[in-house]
Amino acid sequence: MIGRTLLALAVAVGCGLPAARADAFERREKRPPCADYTELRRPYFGDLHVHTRYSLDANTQGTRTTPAQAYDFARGRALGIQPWDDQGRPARTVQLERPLDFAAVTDHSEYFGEATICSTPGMAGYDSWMCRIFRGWPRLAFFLMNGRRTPFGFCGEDQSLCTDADALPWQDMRDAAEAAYDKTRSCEFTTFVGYEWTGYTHRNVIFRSKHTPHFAPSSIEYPHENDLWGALDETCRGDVASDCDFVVIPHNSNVSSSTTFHTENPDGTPLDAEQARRRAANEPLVEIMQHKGSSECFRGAGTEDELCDFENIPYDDLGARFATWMRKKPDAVNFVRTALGIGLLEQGRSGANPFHFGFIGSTDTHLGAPGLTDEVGYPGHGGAGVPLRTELPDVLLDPIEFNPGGLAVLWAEENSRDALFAAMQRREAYATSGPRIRLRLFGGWDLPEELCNAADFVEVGYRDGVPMGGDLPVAQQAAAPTFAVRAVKDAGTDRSPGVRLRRLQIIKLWVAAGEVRERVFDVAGSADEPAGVDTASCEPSGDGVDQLCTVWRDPEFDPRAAAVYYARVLQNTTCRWSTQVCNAAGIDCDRTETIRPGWEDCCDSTFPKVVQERAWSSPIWYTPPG
Amino acid sequence: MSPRAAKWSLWLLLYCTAPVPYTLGPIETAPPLRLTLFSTLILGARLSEGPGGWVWSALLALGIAQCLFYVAFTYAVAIFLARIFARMDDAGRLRAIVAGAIVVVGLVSLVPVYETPISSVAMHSTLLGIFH
Repeated sequence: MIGRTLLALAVAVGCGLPAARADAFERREKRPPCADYTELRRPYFGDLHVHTRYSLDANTQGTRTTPAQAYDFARGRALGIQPWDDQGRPARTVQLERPLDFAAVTDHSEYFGEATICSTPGMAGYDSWMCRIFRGWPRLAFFLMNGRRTPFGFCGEDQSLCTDADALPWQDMRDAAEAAYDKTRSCEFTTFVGYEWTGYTHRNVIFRSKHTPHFAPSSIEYPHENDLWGALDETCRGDVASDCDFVVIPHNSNVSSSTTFHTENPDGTPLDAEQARRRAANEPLVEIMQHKGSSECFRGAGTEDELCDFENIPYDDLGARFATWMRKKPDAVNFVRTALGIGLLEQGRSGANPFHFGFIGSTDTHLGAPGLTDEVGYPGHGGAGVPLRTELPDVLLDPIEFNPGGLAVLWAEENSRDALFAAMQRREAYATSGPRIRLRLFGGWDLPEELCNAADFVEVGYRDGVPMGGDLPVAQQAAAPTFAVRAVKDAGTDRSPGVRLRRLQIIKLWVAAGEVRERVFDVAGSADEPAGVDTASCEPSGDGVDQLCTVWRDPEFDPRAAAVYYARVLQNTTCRWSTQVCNAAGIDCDRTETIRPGWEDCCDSTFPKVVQERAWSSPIWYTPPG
Repeated sequence: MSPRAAKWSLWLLLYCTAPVPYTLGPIETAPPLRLTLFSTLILGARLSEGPGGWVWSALLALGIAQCLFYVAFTYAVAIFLARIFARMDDAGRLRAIVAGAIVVVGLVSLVPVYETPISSVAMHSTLLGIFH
C-alpha cells in the first residue's frame, strides 16, 4: 500500500501534475472512472425535482409517465403527455433539444400506496368509495386526499394494505433510477433515487447511491423536518454497511407561509448550535427557482431590489392558489435572501448558521418531463395547473403566475453519482431559471485583478480562493475579500440560439448593529435597460455580450461583520411563456373580441410579458475571527 | 300546469342550471346540483373512510351549509318567478315555462357559462361538462 502511494506521488510529481485537492470527491461506487474526468470540474445540468404518475397530484391530472419514461425523456427521447384519447394515445408530445446530464424522479411519498391501490384493479380497496372518487372525480380526490391527515379506511385497520402497496412505486422508482444510470466510461447520464416529503413545508430527499431505506419516510408518519432527518438518519445513515447517504433540499419557501426558514423548535425554543449544524449538514442546498416561482426575494418584502420582480408568486401560501380568499402578500422570511441574512444573525447568536446553503433550480414538473424549461412551446405543468385528462381545453394551460421552472447545475469532476453528490454536499452548485448559462464564482483574499484574462482562471481560483458554496478562510490581515466571477451565455442550439448576457451582479448581505443589511453591486455588463424584445413577434433587439467576467473587491468590507456574497447574472429580455402562448392563440389585448373565456389572464397587466432569465451562484460566506 | 307545479318546475330548473358561486376550497360558479353532487361524494367518503381531519370536516360543513342555502335561495326565486306566471292560464303557463326551460337548458348546454376549477377536464364548462 505504502509503495503504491509513493509510486503515485512520484508519478504525479514527475509528470508535473497538481496533487489532488483536499475537496476532491471520494469514490465509493464500484464502476469505472469517467473518460472526461477533470480536476478543474465542469458544470453538469440537471433536474432534481420531477413528478411522475406516482405522485397523487400528477396522477389525478392525467399524467401517466413512469419514472423510466421520465429518465428516457431526460436523455432526449420524446414523451407523450395528456390529454389521452380512448385508445390511450397522447394528444401532445414533448422532447428536449438537449439531453440533461442528470436527473432524479422525486414523487410525493405521501399516498404512494393509496394511489397504487386506487389505480390497480383487483387490489383490496380498489372498489372503495374513495377510490371510486379517485378514478371518477380525480380533481375532487386531489383535494380530499391532500387535505386528509389521517389514515384511510380502505387501507385496513392496521394500514397494512397501503403500507404494503407503498413498496410498489418506491421499488419501481429505485429500479428505474438504477437502470437509467450510465455506468460506462462515457458517463452520459446520471440518476439519483429520490422522493418528495410534502408536509407543512416541502423538501426533496436525494440519495447518494442505490442504497436507500426500504421505504420513503413521508410527512404523514414524520410531520416535522426533525422527524424526517431522524427517520433518514436511522434508516439510511444508520445502516453503515450499506453506504447510504442523503441530502434534503427544501423548495417553494416562497409559498410556505413563512414556515421554511424558522429558527425555533416546535416547542418554541430557539435552535441551538448543534441543531443549526444538523440542519446545515442535512440541507446543504435549497431550490431557489422552479415552476411555482422564484424564491430568491420579493420586492417590498425586506428589499427594494427591482430585479427581485422576477417570476414571483403574488401570494404566500400554495393553498391560496385554490382558496383565493386566503391570498396575502408574502413576508420577507419566505425568501432565500432573507434566510441567508437570518443565518448570519444565528451564527452570531448560537455559534452556528442553520441556513448555510447553496442554490439549485429545478422544474417540479408534474408531467414527468425533467428539464423542460423552454419558454417556447411550454405545455403547462400538469400539477397545480389546469387539469387535462381527456381533452385539450381552449384556455391558458397554466396559471399565469407559474413558469416552466429552472435547472440545477453542479460543478463536478465527472458525471457520476459520487462526483455529483459531493458537489451537492459542498454546495458547488448554482441555479438557472432555465437557460444553460455557465456561471463560476471564486472568493479569496487576494485574487489577481487580471485573472479574467488568465488562461488559468480556474486553477488560480481553486488555489488562492474558494469556489461558490465555500467559506472564506480566516484572513491574515483585514484586507477586503475579492471575488472572481465569470458568466458565459447559453450556447443554445441551431433551432434555439442562446440569448446574450446583460448584467452581472454581486449581492452582499452583512450584519451591522445587530441587523442584516443588503446591497446589490453591478460588477460587469450594463446596468441600463436590457435590450428589448418585440412582444408581438417575440423578436429580440439590441446588444449584449457572450461573456462577462470581473474580479471585484468589496469596497465596503468591515472585517468585524459577518457577510455572505452571491452572484447573479442576467440575460437580455425575451418573451415570457405566457406571451408566446397567448400570441399563438391569437389573443390581442387591444381587441377585446379576441380574448376568449379562459384567456383573460393574457391581458392581466400584473404579469409581465417579458422575462429576464438568469442564474444565481451559491453563496460564499465570511465569518469574522473569534 | 298548476301554479304549484310551476313553482316546483322553476325551482328544479334553477337548481339544475343557475350558475351560483360556492366554494369547496376553489370557488366555482356552477349549478347547485353540482355542489350537491360533490357534497354527497364527500359525505359518502367520510362515512366509508372514517374521520379525515379538519379539512374534511370543513369541506363537508361547507358543502352541506351551501347546499341548504341554495335550496332555500332557489326556492325563494322560484316563488317569485311563479308569481309572475300566476296571471296566465294553465296552458299558457305550461308553454311559457317549457319554452323558457328549453331556452335556458339549450343555452347552458352550448355555452360554457360555468366556472369549474374542480373539473377534471376544463376550467369552464357547459351543463353536460359539469358532470365530467
